[in-house]
Parts: sequence; C-alpha cells; structure tokens
Amino acid sequence: MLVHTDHLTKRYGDMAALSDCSLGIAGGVVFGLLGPNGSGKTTLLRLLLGYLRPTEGRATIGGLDCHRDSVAVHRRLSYLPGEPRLHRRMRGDEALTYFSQLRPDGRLQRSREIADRLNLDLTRQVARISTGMRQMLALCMAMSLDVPLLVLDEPTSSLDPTVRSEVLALVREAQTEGRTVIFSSHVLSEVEEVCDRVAILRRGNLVQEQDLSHLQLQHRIVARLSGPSSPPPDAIRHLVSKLSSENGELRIEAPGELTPLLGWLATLPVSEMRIEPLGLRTVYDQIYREPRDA
Amino acid sequence: MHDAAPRQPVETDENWSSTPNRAAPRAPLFVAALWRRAMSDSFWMLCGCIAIMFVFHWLYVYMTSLVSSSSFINLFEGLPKTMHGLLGISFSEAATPRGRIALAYVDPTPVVITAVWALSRASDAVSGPLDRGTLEMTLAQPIRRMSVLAANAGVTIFGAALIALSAWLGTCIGVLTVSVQQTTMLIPMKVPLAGLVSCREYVPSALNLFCLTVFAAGITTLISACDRYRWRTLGIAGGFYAVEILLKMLGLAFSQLKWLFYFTFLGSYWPQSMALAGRRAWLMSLQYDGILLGSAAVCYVFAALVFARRDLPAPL
Repeated sequence: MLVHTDHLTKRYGDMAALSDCSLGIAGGVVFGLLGPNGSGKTTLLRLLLGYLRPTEGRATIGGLDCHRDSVAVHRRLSYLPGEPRLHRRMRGDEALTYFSQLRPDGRLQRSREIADRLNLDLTRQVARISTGMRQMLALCMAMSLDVPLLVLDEPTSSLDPTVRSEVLALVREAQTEGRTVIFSSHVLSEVEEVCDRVAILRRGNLVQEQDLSHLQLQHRIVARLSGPSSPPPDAIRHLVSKLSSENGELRIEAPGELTPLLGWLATLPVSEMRIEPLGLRTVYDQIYREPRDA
Repeated sequence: MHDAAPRQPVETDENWSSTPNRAAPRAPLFVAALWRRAMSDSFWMLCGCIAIMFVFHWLYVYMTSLVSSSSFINLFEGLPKTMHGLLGISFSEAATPRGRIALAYVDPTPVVITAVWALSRASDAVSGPLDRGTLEMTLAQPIRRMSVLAANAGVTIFGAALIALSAWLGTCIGVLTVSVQQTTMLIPMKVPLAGLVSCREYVPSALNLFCLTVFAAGITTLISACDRYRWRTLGIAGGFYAVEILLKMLGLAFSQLKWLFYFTFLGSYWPQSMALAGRRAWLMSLQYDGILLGSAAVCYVFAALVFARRDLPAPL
C-alpha cells in the first residue's frame, strides 16, 4: 500500500475529529474521500500531510511516517488545500514562479501550460481574482508536479462546470501516468466519475470502503405488480442483496448478474418496471440515513 | 531551469518503498525563495523605518546645536525631580553635547520605530501566515518548518541591523555637518560638533539599539510560534512591550523602584550611558547586549521547538 493509516486518531480535548481510522490506498488508483462537512476528511488529509500530530495511531506514505518524515513525504506528493490561500499581492504568474522555486522539482512551464488549458489569466493580482480562479491557480501548481501522489481536497468546489470537467480530465491523466490521487469531494457524481475506490467518513469514523467498479455492477429493480408476488426461487436468492415489497411495489437490490432475476420477474404480474444502477448516492444515503449510534 | 529537466518516470509504491529516501539529502535550512519573499514583504516598511531613523537622528543632532547648554539646563531645572531620573544619566552629563546627542537613543521615536519593526515582522513568523492561510501551501512543499522561521528571523534581524546602522549614520552625518555655539575666553564662536564629540562614541549605543530590536523580535517570534492569529500576537507582544517600558520608566523616575529593572528587558537598554562611558562602553555592551542577545536566542530556540511540534490548524 502506498498510503497506510493504522488506527489513526486525532482528538481535540473530548472531541474526536478522526477516530481509529485504518485504511490502505494502493498505488496508481484514484481514491475518493466522501463525507459532509465535519466528517473528518480534511483532518485525515492534514494528518497525511503531517500538519497535525496524531493523538493515536500512525499514518505512512511509501513507508515514511507522515509526521516525523513530513519533508521527505512532501517531496513525493503534491497537495491542493480545500481553500487555497495565496499571497494576495502576487500576480498569478508570480505565484506560479514562487511555488516552482520552493521545490527543486518545481515545473513552472508545466504549471503555465495547465493555466493556459484552464483559460486562467495569470496577469491579475491574487487579491483581485475570484475564489474559483484562486483555486485554479493553486491547481496549476499542484497538478504540474511529477510526483507519485496527488492529494486534492475538494478541488472543484468553486469551479464552473467547464473547468470542473477539465480538472477531472487532469485527474484521469494523472492516473494514466501511474500516479495515485486522493480525491476528497462532496460531489458524488464526480467521485463516481474519476475514483476507483472510495472511503466514506461520518463524524470522524471511517464507515465504508467501496470499490466503485464493484458498485457499478449493482442495480436496483423497482417493479410495480398488478397481482400477488412470490419470493425468488432458492437458485437465484443469492443474487438478491435486499428485497422489499410495499403497496404493490417490489424493490430488489442486486449486487451482480441481472439476467436470472429478470427471468424470475417475467413470471410475476409486473405492470411497470425500472432498473437503475445502485450508484454511490444509494450507498451514501444508506450511511447517512442510519441512526446516530449505528 | 527546472523546466528543462526531462520528465521523470512516476514512482510507484513499490519502488518508493524500496528506495527508502530517508537517506535523501536533508532539506536545506536556507530556501532562497522564502528569503526573497520575506525581503519583498518587508521592503517598504524597512525603507520607511530606515528613513525615519536616519532623519530623526540627524535632526536630533541639528536641534541639539540650536539649544545652548545653558538653555538646556534652564529647561530641565524647571521640570520636577522625577523627570530628571528619566534621562538615565546624571544631569551634568546630559547637559554636554555628547550627552544630549546620546539622549536621542532613548527618545520614544527610535524605541517605537524598532518596536514597530520587530513586532510587525516577527508576528509574521508563524501566526501571520497561519492566520492568512498561506503557510499551508508553503509547508505542502518539501520545506522544513525551520526554513520558514529562519527566513523570517534572518530578514527581521538583518532589518534591525540596518535600522540601527541608519540611526548611527544619522548621528554621524549630524555630528559631521553641524556646528555649535561655544564661548571661549568670553568670545562666542561657532565650533564644529565633530571637534567636541566623536561618531565612534555612539557605536555601542547603536549596537544596544540593535540588540533591543532583536530581543523584541525574539519574544514576538515565540508568541507567534505559539499562536494562531496575528492580531492576537501583536496584542500580546505590544502589551508586553508597553509594560516593560512602564517598568523601566518607574525604575528611572523613583530610585526606590530601581529593582524593577530586573523585571524588564529594557533594564539592559542603556545607550545614553554607553555613549558617555568611554572605554567602559564595550564592557557595558558585552554585559547588556549579551543579556539581550542571549535572551533573544533562547526565545528563538523555544519558538523553533514549539513550531516544529505544534499542529497547524486549517485556515478559517
């Protein structure tokens, strides 16, 4: 595993910002971090960056301790904060130059190329550009580096749809080049679009890790029946993960193959039927609909 | 140029962990870009401080030449006795041209200018960029926290040296260009001030001013390293400085309160006495400047320790 956390915990007094988080991220994947505000995403990222000292547990990147060896870790990663703050008096191009000079592997020309691709005006002063443009500027710095790990904290939160899709394209390109990307976001559709695997956090706890390729195979079938239904035969019962029937509506969640299920449904008095991919939304809603102490 | 470098093959987790770059060269303490940034951030303020300090000391010498010793004595004799103590030197010493010029170094103007420089720059060491949120992007690069602190401390101390130098140069230019009215054998005549005082006598005073600034910067850096908001750092450091000045003034004004000097770092700030001490000035410098610089070094070491270990919260 490239990134590894072992019972990672960060507490502020009695408040646990992150509890007992153990996860592993393999090299070359785009790993999504999902959760609402205050769920612990940024705390996890800041622990990985070595900005915070863990209360308990440990985080490593490429075998290096994230807090103790933070400089060595930073040589191999590029970070885009959720709300990037840059020196307000600098012009866009000055900011790119400054950050490229801060590290020996800084690539000014590449960051200018990305700025060009995002249609970003580099002649304007940071203080006089919008939040979205500041985010783009920081993205140019973060995405320009030849590093094996990119840590992007809500990289598209302030961007318009056109730039947003360009940023997602950059993330995919990074993955094609063999890099690992940690992609924190609120936007489920984006995570579904670019991530290979996702971790969902709730109130500082890692509640689910999900492979998105596996999720793409899962479907929900909603069938309206005009007559009585019957339970699925034993031979196909294993193909159903959840089944409910209410007010003449049959809801089935299928984790895999659909054909045998459709065969069974054809024997029922179905008047209407809808098949939809289960999607991340369903998983997310399930987690956030669960009672507080679940 | 970094751009000319060929695109490196991307490391995977396998070769990353198999080449434990723990043996990689340690990140340098000196990061030129950080120093340039710190210089650029403080450039105009430094120019202002230097200009004010230079002009003030020059004008002070010039004003001194306009007031005769007898007028000075008459002026001060009219003031309450407690005010005499505030001079920090004997009344007879203060009445001489050398003594009167030396009093420029304890005037509120240089004390305030050095405090403004020290507090504004040193508060920008940690809590400043943390408050603005710029520290996050900076420290995401392979840079040691110490490099950030070193760039700030280096530029602050360098600026303090230039400010103290400008004070001394202002005094020198004044001494070399101004003449004073002297009465010799009942004949009043204009005598060049350079014939009565030497610029070299004010070197220990300027050095003492420099050390005071470095100490103020050191203590402010320590507060900044512990804090999260620059306004609060400035408030605490400014309050501390004000209390220290008050203690010094009380100690000077009332002889029974001289023990207060032990509780203020300004108890080591005696530029007026140093200018009048002759050969003993360098001994005094060793003692007082040693205390100020030593205390500043302790503050910087603690600031480094605190900053290296502390959590860096997300900007608000």
